[in-house]
Amino acid sequence: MTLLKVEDLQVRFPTHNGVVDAVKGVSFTLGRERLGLVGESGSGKTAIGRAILRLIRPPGEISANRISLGDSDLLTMSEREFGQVRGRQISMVLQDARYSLNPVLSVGEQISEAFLSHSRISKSDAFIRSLDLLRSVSISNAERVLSAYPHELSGGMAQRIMIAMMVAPQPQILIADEPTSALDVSVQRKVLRLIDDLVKDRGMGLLFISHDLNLVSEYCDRIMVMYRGAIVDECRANELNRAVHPYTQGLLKCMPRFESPVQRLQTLDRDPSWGIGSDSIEKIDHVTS
Amino acid sequence: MSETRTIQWTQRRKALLHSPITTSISKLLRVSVTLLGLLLITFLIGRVMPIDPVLAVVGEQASKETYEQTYIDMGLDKPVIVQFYYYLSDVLQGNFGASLLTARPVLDDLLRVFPATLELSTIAIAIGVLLGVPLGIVSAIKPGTWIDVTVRIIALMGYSAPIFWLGMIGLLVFYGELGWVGGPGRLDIVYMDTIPNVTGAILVDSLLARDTATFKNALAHIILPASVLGYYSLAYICRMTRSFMLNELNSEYVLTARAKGVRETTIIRRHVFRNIRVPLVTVIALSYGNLLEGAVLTEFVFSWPGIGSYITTALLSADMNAVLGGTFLVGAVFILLNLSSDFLYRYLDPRTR
Repeated sequence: MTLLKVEDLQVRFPTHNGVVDAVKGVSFTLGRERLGLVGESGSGKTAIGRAILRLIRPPGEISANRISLGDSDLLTMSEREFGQVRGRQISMVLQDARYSLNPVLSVGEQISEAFLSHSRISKSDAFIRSLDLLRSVSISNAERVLSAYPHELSGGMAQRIMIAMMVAPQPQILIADEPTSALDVSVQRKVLRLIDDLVKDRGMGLLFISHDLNLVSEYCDRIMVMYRGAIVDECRANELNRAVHPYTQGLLKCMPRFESPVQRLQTLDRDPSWGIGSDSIEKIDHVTS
Repeated sequence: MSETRTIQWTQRRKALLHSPITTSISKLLRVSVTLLGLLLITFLIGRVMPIDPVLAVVGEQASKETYEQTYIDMGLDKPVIVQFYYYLSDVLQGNFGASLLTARPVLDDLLRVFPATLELSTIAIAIGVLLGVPLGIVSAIKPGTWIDVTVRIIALMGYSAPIFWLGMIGLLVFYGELGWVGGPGRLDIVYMDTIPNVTGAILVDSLLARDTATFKNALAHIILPASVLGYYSLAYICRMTRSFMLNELNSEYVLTARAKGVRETTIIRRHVFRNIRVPLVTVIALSYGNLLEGAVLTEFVFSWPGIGSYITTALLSADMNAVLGGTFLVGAVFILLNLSSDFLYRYLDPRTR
């Protein structure tokens, strides 16, 4: 069943050196599944996540043929109506949770704010629910953590709190933008399992944004590969080896393999014809160089 | 679980380091050392100044005997450290010596001029904060719009217009032409010495004496100089608020709050404003400190008997006791302001607790 439908999404940032097309006509659908979005830095994967939630700030511009959630059209909604989508229907987990939480508000204040923004409950009820939520993301001393501030938390703890906060109003879709990149490997696994459990239990759709091809192929059901603002490849995660696009194949060849060690790893030969709209590619090059 | 232990450890250390008694004692010690240092420095500067303190007392016509007698009477024949010891023990008993100009104890003079400055500065800083902070916030929320541009022009004018010029134009227009405000001085002559002097701040004293006529007159006199000074701090506070806000609005936690679905007004009020309170307290405390130092130009334009003109006049006539006492008071006020903003930081920012 399709939850989110995106057609021809474009994101542009006007700069002093001309317009940068961060996302160039991307279309995809997301159901109750784990969809991985892979790409290198600057490929536009974060911009897609933020564009869906209308979090691109001016002067950045979003346009699309269609962005819809179930039956409702997200494109034509007023800012006021969209406030009921953001966080309530679609929510987002950001990369480095310790820096993405407000340093001067306590954990309890921040989690209960997620409840208070979307339902009419009292502050004390919101705190009680926050406490349950913290326990559900396996934080043992939840009472103490509730009154702690972000600088008193470890990275893994902060990310679990962030996840708890974002699933608090029971959204249908969770966008996870590199949720584990700031964590070390052992904590990564725990956090991924946590997201997985939540997504399964609540039947959410997950858009998992990452630059880690291995991780995504293990973790997700379906993968989209992005290159310079366009989706160049799309496949089931277990069929990644059969990917057709030269960029995806190139990426796979660049990774060391345990079963077939090589003297020198291959590097990626980029073909300017990958992606679409060659003129805008030049502009991106101009800006990033 | 190691995370549990980390939190427990931080909280235990916090409890020990930040128990009210420990903090109060260490604060008190730090303040007294700073005050001692301040006294020593003002004293030494007073001694190395290329003016002859004896000559300032006896005058140029005095005979050699009188000069030498006074030299010994003033203790100038003793080593500097001994002189400082005498000065220190005098100061500890509240004796800053007598002023040459007014022929009264310096302490009495300071108790007379400082309330005038305090009254003026407090109203000025209130104007600066109450208008400057909201204007800065509004202009940061809507950057590039006509509101932002207007606010920035207002701030720039307050920043760059010479304050004595603003004062004189203000007197010319609002006192001379329109007659809306009182003229120079703190009161009209008819109201002088009509109320008992309790705090030295006329607005407070007249309220205590329930004398509305005097209160209104004092208000009419203070409103123009306070506005001129307040405009200047408004300009500074507004510019700083705007840049703090713009800086914070780019933070990741703002993105988080938006993704969570928090309303934009709540984000500004609850998330962003709470984060700029700490730097804002610093800025406000500094402007207030600058005002309390005495605004010499404004005081001269408005014939305001404040600490700025007192110290300046004393300095010009080599009245060293008055200069040292005045400088010490200004320094002590600064230390006190720093101390109170330190306390505010602790309250406002959990990271400093």
